Amino acid sequence: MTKLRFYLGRLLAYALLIGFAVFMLFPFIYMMSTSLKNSNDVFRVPPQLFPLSPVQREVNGTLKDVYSFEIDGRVREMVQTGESRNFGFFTTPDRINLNNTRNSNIIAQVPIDEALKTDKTITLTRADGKEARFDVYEVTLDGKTEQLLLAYRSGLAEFVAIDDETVKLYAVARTAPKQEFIDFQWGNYNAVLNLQLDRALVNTTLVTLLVVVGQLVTSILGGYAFSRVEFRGRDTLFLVYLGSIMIPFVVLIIPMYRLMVLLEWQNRIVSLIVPWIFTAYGTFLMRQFFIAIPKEIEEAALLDGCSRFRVLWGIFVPLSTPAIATLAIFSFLYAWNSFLWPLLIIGEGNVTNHVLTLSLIRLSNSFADQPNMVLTGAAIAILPPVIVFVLAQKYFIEGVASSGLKG
Amino acid sequence: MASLVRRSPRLSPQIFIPIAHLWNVILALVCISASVNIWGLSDFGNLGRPVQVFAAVVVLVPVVIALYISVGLLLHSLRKNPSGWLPKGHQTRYAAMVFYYVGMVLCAAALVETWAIFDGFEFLVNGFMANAWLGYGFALAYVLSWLSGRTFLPETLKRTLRYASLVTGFGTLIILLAASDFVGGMTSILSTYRQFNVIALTIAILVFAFLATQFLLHGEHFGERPHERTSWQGWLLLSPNIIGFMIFFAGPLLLSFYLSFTNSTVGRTPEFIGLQNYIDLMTLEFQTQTNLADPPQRALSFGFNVLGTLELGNTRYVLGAKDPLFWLSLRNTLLFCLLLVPLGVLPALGLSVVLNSSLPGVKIFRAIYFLPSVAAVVGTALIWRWLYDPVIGFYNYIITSVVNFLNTLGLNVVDPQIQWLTDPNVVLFSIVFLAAWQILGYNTVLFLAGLQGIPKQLYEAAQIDGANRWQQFLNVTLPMLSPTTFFVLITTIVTGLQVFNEPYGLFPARPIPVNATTSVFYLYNAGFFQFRFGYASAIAWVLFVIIFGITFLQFRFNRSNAYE
Repeated sequence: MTKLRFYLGRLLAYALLIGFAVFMLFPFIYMMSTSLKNSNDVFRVPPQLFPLSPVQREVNGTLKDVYSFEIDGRVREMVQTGESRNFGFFTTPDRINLNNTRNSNIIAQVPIDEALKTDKTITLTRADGKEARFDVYEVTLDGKTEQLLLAYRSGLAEFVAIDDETVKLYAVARTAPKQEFIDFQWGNYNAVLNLQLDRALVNTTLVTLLVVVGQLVTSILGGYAFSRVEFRGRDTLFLVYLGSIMIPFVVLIIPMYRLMVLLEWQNRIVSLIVPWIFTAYGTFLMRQFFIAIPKEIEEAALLDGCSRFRVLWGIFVPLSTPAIATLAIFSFLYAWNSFLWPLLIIGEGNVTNHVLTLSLIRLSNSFADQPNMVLTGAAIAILPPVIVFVLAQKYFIEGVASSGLKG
Repeated sequence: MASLVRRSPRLSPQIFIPIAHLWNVILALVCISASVNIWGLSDFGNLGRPVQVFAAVVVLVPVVIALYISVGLLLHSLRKNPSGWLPKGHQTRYAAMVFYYVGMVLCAAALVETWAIFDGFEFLVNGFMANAWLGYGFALAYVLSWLSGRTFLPETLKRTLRYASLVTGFGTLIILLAASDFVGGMTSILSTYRQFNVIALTIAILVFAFLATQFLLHGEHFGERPHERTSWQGWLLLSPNIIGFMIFFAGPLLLSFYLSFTNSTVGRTPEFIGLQNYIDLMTLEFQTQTNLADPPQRALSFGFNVLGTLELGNTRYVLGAKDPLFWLSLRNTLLFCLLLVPLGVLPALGLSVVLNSSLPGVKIFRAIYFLPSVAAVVGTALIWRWLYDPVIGFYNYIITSVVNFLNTLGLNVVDPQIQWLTDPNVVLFSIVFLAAWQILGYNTVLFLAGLQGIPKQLYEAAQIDGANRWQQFLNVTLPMLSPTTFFVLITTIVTGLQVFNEPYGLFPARPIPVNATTSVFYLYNAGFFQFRFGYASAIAWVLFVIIFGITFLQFRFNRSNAYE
């Protein structure tokens, strides 16, 4: 009994975990699958995940999509001839759907020029009181001539069998059973990168790299000063610093923009880097870590005549790899994913200095009807942090966890 | 004693103190003329007279400091030990060190800007774009350095690999710099030495550096006390942070506060208009209307627009605002937070409890849940835009499939056919779902860390007392987890109050639906579409007060917790 409960509990737990895992992963799977589709495939209803391309065969010197129809119990491969023929769709008054005649129960589908139009018409009343008039045709059905209503008419495409030109049939081209195979359009990535996303990628990498290095340098120096060097006014300064973490960026948007205009830094990559290498949060993080390192280690080195820089570089930095990794990862994510600031300073217009997030918006505006291209761009922007996350998972999780514990 | 830099040869005070006096006089003259210059400018970056006056006064501050230093030096050389506010020897030294150091940094920054070195970022990218194969060089350097860290390799090979990786990395960097026309840039820098300001700045940097070092090295001369001997090192180490903080944080913060009291806009000198922005932003009007045939607008005064109406019996209550869109955006933002909290926090709590029960594979699940929070919001918003598509999107397809399945079971369910991105009643939910999906894993990791910090003994004691799983959760887990819960709630709310990227990426059409306009989006519109900088600053400060209030709550809570 208890064993059963144990397994049942396990089953329930895993069902929950897997359910959420699918929910969390699905948008990424959708992104990857869409980024590998061709431009027609993305508009398939209902949607499906595998990128499909039509099977094509050369017929009379041209490449044509292959369809498979079942004729007289035999599946035949057919192609469109390019011709089409106007068909009438006939039925009886009791089978007709007055609200949408195309949804009627059709009993005969005959080329319109093979049916004989009579002078008669039938008028039926719809549920809302409106009247609908239908022409009556004489239609030959299984050798028998019958008088039927013309529900609607529609052009059908002509298909011909590849191996036998005499086998012909007419069908709606859009819904005809096309032969397809799974086909990854890796070329999408090349195409999107060539739309200046390669430059945006290099820009983003450069900005991120320099912001991370800059933040590490200023934070390590500042954190060391706050934790180890005693000087007047240190604690007041630290309080001011802590307070500045509480000030949200929205307050600074307008004046920072004005400042950039004043410095003539708008539209330039420098405005994405230099203002961002000073971080109160990073300084705080490094200070908290340094403060836990035993004083004895440092004092011994200082007595031996080591300079402060030697102590910092030779003792503190190697000892605080986890904190440095955490800070590096946070600033990496922040710099790579930042959007509002580049949007204000670089804007959507100046494509040369775009970072990836900006390029994504540009891409989604100019390819509003090609989600495959847009999501290829999204994949280019999203995959690098994901790869870094997979490689350095431990530090991500530990960094987030420690931020919560310290409050 | 600890020293930051290796001791360098010292000059006699008789030489550098006169130089300092001379330099102070030059600086004072330069600053006074600059101040007069700023005062007389007809246009000061479109920031208005008060900022201009402020800048003119700020430029005079160095004059005062220079005077202070000179007086201090004179008094010190006369062997007077002044009383009161007059500078003492060590105070003079400190003032001089800080003053000359900051002067050096500012001159260096000005020189860098004159040389247009910051344009080098663009040139660097140009060089890399033209020689993309250099990427392989960096990749090779990384692989070599990775290999050199493997333990199974012999020591000599590791050392060789380390050198090889350094050579490859720096070699590639040098080629990249060469390809980015770095040499050309250097020669053009040399050619700028024909300009007067470049020469002046360079001399200023050298003099500042010389004086700062000399004052630093002559501690004893100014009667430095031993316990103060390392004090300057702290300030030096913090100086990059402090200077950056002043320029990119404190300064803009003050400017923002000032702008919120002006009618600042593009191409016009702002005028001080007092609280007008805040009044326009916040004023509400409440009226009643008995004639229901009248349009509600008629009940309001001029300049007010209808925010909402309520009809009770024969009276209609009309709420009007000077700026209804601000109130609507605030309502949207608060509603967004209100929905985000249960959707982004409760599932995270549940998942973390399950993950904490030491099942195999927990780490994989944790990683999967965390994944959305590493991705750029703009990117995920674009993914969700297509998932939300009413025709080809997966979400409506899944809903339709479920509805069809229920209908085959005999239930009569109508397919809702939700228009996620156009239906005004739904758009806010569409943003919330996206944001909750993105923050869920982050919160799960936070909760999990909190859960792992709860001592196991508490559960054992509860078990002995006969508590079942649910009672343990209620009486042990939840109370012990409350600091984490509070932290998660606060970070979620503060993130939610600043939501901007989600609506920007999710809605293709401009303007975005009114019900999806969040406060920061409204601020963005006011500031960067209507260019009402003053008004937008006022919005920012109102938002700030709300956010600060919530954050402050957390600090208070944490403190009270810590003393328990």
